[in-house]
Amino acid sequence: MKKTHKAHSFFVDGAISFAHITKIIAKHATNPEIGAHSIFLGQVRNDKAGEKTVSEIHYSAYREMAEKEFLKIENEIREQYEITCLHILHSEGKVQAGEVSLFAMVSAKHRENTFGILKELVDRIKKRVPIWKKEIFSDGTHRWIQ
Amino acid sequence: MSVNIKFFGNLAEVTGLDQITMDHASPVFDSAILKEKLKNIYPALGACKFAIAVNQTVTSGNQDIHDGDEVALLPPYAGG
Repeated sequence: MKKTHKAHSFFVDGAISFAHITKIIAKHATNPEIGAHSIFLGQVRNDKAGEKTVSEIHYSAYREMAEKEFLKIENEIREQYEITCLHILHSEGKVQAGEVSLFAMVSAKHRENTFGILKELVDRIKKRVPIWKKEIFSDGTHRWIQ
Repeated sequence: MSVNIKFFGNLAEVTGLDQITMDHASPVFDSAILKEKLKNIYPALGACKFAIAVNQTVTSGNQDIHDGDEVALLPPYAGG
């Protein structure tokens, strides 16, 4: 039987630090069955709107529903594919341009599987998890992304 | 009847609220009635795109709403 992940939050307050990411990656050294990790990092981009530039994004979520949907997606992927491990982290709150707001990682015996599964994982997150972003421009004004 | 309605993303900004409670004075028996009532109270919602979730499940078509249900208005998602 495949194990399902124990309850934990998929959200991080603010940006996802590289220390946090490194710690998660390093933990897998104890599992020599793994032959490949594929990692996706979503980074806040300094989009332009006319003269204005995005300086940060404010992420908000329907937290209870989002946690459930993340867990559902994680369990689906674990059931559907031959993978060893899977991790997801998403920001809530303010993230500056250049900082990381989404971390997704798929680990398996062989690399061939991990690329496609990672894409599938990120696509499902974007499509199904109730999260919203408000782009804040350097002059303090904002716009909602839909 | 008491139904809690949450607003997310730009909808919280449009209504100026995170949530409201609709009670027996203005009962909502299904998601279509709810939508009509909310658009009357907050006309700006008419120009907004959103889905309705009942008890954290997105509805398709018109869905019954019961006393104590948690209802949420969800604009298009933009995670990542």
